[in-house]
Amino acid sequence: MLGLSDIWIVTAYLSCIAAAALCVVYGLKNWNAGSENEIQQVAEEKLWQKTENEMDEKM
Amino acid sequence: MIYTTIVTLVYLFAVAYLGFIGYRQTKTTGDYLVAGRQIHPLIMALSYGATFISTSAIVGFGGAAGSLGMGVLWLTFLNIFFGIFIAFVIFGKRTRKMGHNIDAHTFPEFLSVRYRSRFMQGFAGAIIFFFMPIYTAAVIKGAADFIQSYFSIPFEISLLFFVAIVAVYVWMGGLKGVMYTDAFQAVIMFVGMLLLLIFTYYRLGGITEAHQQLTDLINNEEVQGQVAKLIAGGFRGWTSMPVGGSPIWWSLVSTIVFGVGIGVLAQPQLVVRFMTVRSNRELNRAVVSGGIFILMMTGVAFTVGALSNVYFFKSTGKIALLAAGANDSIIPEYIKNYIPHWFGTLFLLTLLAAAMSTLSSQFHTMGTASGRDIYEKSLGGKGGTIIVTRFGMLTTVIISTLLAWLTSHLDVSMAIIAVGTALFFGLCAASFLPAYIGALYIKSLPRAAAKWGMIAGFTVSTFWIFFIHEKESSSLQLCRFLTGKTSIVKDTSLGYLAMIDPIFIALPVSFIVTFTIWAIYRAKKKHDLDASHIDRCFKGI
Repeated sequence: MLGLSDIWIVTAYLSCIAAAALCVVYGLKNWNAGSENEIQQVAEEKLWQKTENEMDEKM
Repeated sequence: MIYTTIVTLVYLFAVAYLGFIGYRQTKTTGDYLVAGRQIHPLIMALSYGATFISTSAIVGFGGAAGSLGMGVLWLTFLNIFFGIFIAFVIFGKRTRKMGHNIDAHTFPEFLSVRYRSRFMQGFAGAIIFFFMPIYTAAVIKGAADFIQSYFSIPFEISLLFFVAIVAVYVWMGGLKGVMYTDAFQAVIMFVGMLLLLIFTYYRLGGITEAHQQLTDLINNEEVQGQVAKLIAGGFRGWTSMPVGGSPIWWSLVSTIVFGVGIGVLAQPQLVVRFMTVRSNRELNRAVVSGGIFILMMTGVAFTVGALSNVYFFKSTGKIALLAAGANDSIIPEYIKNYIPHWFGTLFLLTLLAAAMSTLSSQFHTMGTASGRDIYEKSLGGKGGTIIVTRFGMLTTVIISTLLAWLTSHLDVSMAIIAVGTALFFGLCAASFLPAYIGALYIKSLPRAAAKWGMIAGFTVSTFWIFFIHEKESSSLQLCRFLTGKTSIVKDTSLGYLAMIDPIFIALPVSFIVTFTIWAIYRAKKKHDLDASHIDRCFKGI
């Protein structure tokens, strides 16, 4: 198959493509998932930055 | 030559400009260490991919595919499945959230704060500082090998030339600058590898025809004579897996495929990348470009590396390893001799991009390991973190360059770049993976379990590297110096252990120690971390 003599190599070749396809399908299916509490996450981001700046001033 | 020089200079100018922008944005220590956390998912994915994939993957492992065949494609599968899908979806989301919760800036700090152990931060920082230069040297060697071959200049000059460019570039930019330059470099890498794939298959008459020619090569009597030694070691052709349990099978499966394929999950310079995005949405989106990018990088390098045997044999009557003269010269010689010159220039940029993006991240990680993890947090140093960080970076640049230079004295038929890379990846997996998984998923895992699992994994791994696994112990010479043998199990009834990569032993030991201590604590209903701390770590997870 595909000019390859060993089924393990054929499997490896096709598995690479399948794994990349899995990434594409998963990513597209969940394209907008995971941002439900974005306001809170931005607030956390700001808090982190504020704390970071305070730490820097002390240093 | 003039064309190559002009294109290279334009590229270097663009990279230096992006690095300079990053430098101007470097305002605070925090900024320098982790960068802003509001990075576009495509930039994050490309940056992650460019950091992940280096000249080690393209030149080193591509060369290994030239010697061992397309079985190396199993590593591509693991790179995509573990290195992208599992890493982003299973590990990345929790790492990002927990990293925010505990305000971590480096991977050792992440473990340290999660387990409340200054020792872990210093220990992990020391592993990175002292052992990552081996991986860095492998990446440097990949680029220097190509420059040496492409411009026909001595290895020492190409090495110093390349390191000088990288050192200036890294010195100028913080991680934020590196993030954008990485993405720019990832685009160059993608285009370069895509054209390489199309060109290689096209010249050999298409996908199936090209594979068939490679399959038929092993039936040629002349070829069989050239690979007689490999056949004795279990080799069965470039489109077949080696004989199960043979030395070449162990080398391919345990060192190249599993060592790097699993080790990627606990790579300090990659874990930090998850903390640079704002929400899980960005990680979900990054999975798309990450999966395609890794397929295009390693999948192409390993396929072309194997197929180069057909080109070399047709034109020189020799297989790739013999025609190129060294495992790590297969890809450079293939590009130099069988690819149009204009593409050779583009590929030079591809490799420069691949090397610089990875190296800049490695130098940052080693610098922060010395400055923040060891000096400031573990030893309690006050002030001057940036100076210590930059001094640490300079030290590792020098050590890595020396190591890369020393590799030129090793056996050239050995896949030096691949072995060096696998050594560090395996060491990271054995030392960090159980503690990292526990940090993300097991609230009741005590500090003692994580700490001793890390120590056990590191100890067994280094012992195996220096005294058992012959591929490494013979090069490192310590075992020969102390015992007179290249491996302490050589010529004994346990001689087969010399073929097995450290990760196969050290990672299970690390897991067993971690989970045994965890079980003991659970049986005694003890925990050495208070509930409020655990709640803080897992807030929102």
